[in-house]
Amino acid sequence: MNNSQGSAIVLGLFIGILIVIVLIKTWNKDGRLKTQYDEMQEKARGLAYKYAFWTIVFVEAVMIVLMSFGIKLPFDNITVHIIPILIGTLVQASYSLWHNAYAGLNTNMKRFGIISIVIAGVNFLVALIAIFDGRMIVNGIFEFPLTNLICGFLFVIIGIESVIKNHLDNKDREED
Amino acid sequence: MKNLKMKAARAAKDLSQEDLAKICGVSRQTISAIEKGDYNPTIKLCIVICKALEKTLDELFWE
Repeated sequence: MNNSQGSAIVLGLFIGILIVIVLIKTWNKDGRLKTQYDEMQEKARGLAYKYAFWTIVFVEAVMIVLMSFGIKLPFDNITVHIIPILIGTLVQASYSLWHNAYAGLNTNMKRFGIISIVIAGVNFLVALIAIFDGRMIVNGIFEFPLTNLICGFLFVIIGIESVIKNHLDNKDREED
Repeated sequence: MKNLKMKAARAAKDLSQEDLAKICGVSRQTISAIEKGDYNPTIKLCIVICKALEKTLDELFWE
């Protein structure tokens, strides 16, 4: 990776943080940056972060072991470290979701759903453009745009899980 | 263990889980989990629930 690539990634991260701040303020009903959770949700989220952390450690360890045996992974140098982070993110989101701690007390679920669909769409679009431009796989190696494809699928998986959980919650509400 | 006393007290006040959750500042799922016995609330939340349902801690959370 050269200096210009590094600078581009740092700039991208900075812009990404700014976008996330705007999105959180948009999907929170009170326009605040802090999403509010009750005590049960805080407890569940704590466990979710713990499982996500150990998932990242485990997947990174697997990658290191594979590479130390000389097994060439079909991912570029950056993607190989982003994959464990994305898998960890999925673990955190899924655990929170199934333990009623994904959406906060001040989250507007409609806005949150729309924003999630848009983010998934943008990621799929970027990945699709990369596929047609021949930037997805170069010399048999998955390049950085694979991250967008994984991100897109991550949002799809979380979306499907949310729909199922919402259906179960509605049943629970009817029993109330 | 299910907390039937809390469920009965809520029903007596004609409150849904959603209503009680709003009064207590928690999610509906948290109220549901407490009633089902899937979650043990902190003493702080127990007091908030008791005040909302106009009951004592003994009446709602003591066996």
